[in-house]
Amino acid sequence: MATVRPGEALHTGGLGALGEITSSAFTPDLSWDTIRLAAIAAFRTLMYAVAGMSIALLIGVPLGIAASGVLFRNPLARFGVVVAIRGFLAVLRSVHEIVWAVLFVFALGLSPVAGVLAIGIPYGGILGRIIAERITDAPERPLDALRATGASPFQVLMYGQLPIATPDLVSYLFYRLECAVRAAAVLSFVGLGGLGFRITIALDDLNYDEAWTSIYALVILVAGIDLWSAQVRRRLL
Amino acid sequence: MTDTPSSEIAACSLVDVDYRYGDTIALRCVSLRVAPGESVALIGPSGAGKTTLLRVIAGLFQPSAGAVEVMGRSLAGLRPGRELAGLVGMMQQQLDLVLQLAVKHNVQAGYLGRWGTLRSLAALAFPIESTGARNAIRRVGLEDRIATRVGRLSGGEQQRVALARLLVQDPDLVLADEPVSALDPALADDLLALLRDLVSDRPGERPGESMAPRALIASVHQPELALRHFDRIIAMRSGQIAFDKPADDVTEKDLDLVYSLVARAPTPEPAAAGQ
Ligand SMILES: Nc1ncnc2c1ncn2[C@@H]1O[C@H](COP(=O)(O)OP(=O)(O)OP(=O)(O)O)[C@@H](O)[C@H]1O
Ligand SMILES: [Mg+2]
Repeated sequence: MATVRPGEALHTGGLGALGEITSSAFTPDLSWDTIRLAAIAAFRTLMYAVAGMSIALLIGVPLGIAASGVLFRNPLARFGVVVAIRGFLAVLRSVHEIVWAVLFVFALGLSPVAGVLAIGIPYGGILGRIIAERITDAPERPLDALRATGASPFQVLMYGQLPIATPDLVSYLFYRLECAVRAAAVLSFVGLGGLGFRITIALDDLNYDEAWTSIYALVILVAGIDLWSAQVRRRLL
Repeated sequence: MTDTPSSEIAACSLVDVDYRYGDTIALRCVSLRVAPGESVALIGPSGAGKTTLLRVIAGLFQPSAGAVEVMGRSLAGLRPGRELAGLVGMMQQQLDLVLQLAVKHNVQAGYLGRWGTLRSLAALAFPIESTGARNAIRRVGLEDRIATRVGRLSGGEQQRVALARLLVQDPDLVLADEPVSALDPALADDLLALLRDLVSDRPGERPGESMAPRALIASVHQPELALRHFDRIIAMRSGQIAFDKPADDVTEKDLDLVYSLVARAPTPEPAAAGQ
């Protein structure tokens, strides 16, 4: 990868390599060693993604609820908090995870923590915004009915907005987990282990069959999340 | 008729109440008094002002003029929420349930005004039901659906859930806006009978406690149902009370007059006002 220079990609050798890479798709390396390494790398990628999503939830749920403003009765306090937190969330997500990764690798070295934070922080900003939106989009009538029973804003949140938003949010969380897996695979190109890293070294060795084993592992991972998500959604809807 | 011993506190009393939506006058000079224990049906053509009247009594709308009292207390001076919830509760035309929550959680929401934060969280997180909620669910005949999500119930079953929630909230005055408009005739009969029984039968929550009898005001589109299930009929037309008499005294002619198309409506009525 690092050896490819502009212009070089199109010369005859490049086209030959493209053909070779394509034909290797049908002959992935299925030796036990390669599969084992790909499986470990896939697990590692998944763990980056899951840990990143956990951090994103830790950031996104409380900040998203705060940014929705529903817990504040005083309009002035609500306005202030909503604007401040929405701004903060916007900063988190306006920086791409790759940029966060470069920053954290610079600060922390090639540590898994850097990869996890690089996913968790921008995704936290995204989740926070989506959660705030889902909460404020809840239909008013059932909420009014709850308020009419004397419920406090927090009780209305727990019995109204959150359950109403949950099915949508869960679908969205799964979609984001899928994105996080792909992001984690890409992050390993920066040097954090995982599937991306396996693909890079296989390509550097012109070992296309082995690269495809890792690519298929990524496909299986994403498909697995999709299946899981469909199952959970069926139970929720 | 409307004369109850004047020493007794009225479940609700309105004096010269007006309500306007911008330029539309939805209620004009409405006065009425309902005693505890009474069951009143509001009838009248679409757009007559039934929903508006109920919402004013429920404290959801501030009247443009006039005074509203529930159980002798002026609504203007009441904090919405807890205090109001014990006095008056309303089943809306749309049921306003949280479809994503189980029957028991929707019913237990009737307690939220009295429960603290921790109690209401625990009731969501653990599979426990308060006895009050379980009783209410049993009385509306949904015992076997107690853990089902409300979105999976039929319209009639949802109506029962809304009713059970109202029972749990246990207000002195129960309002219902077209509680049976979405039901087939047999179910409508059942539900109105249930509504009336539940409203009139009010066991004290704590033993030995004597509770004031509840009053019920419900808007009903079909006059036959109103006559069959309610003690007293108040007919609305163009925002005013057309008549107010005991159900037994209502004649065919009275009904014809209220529903006749020779409208003296001051505003053009949209073909399907309301829902
Ligand atoms: N939100 C609103 N804005 C403006 N006008 C309204 C609004 N709601 C109702 N109105 C008008 O007020 C009048 C009374 O309406 P209301 O909903 O109280 O009638 P209703 O007797 O409940 O009718 P229905 O039997 O169709 O439910 C109607 O003329 C209606 O058009
Ligand atoms: Mg109506």
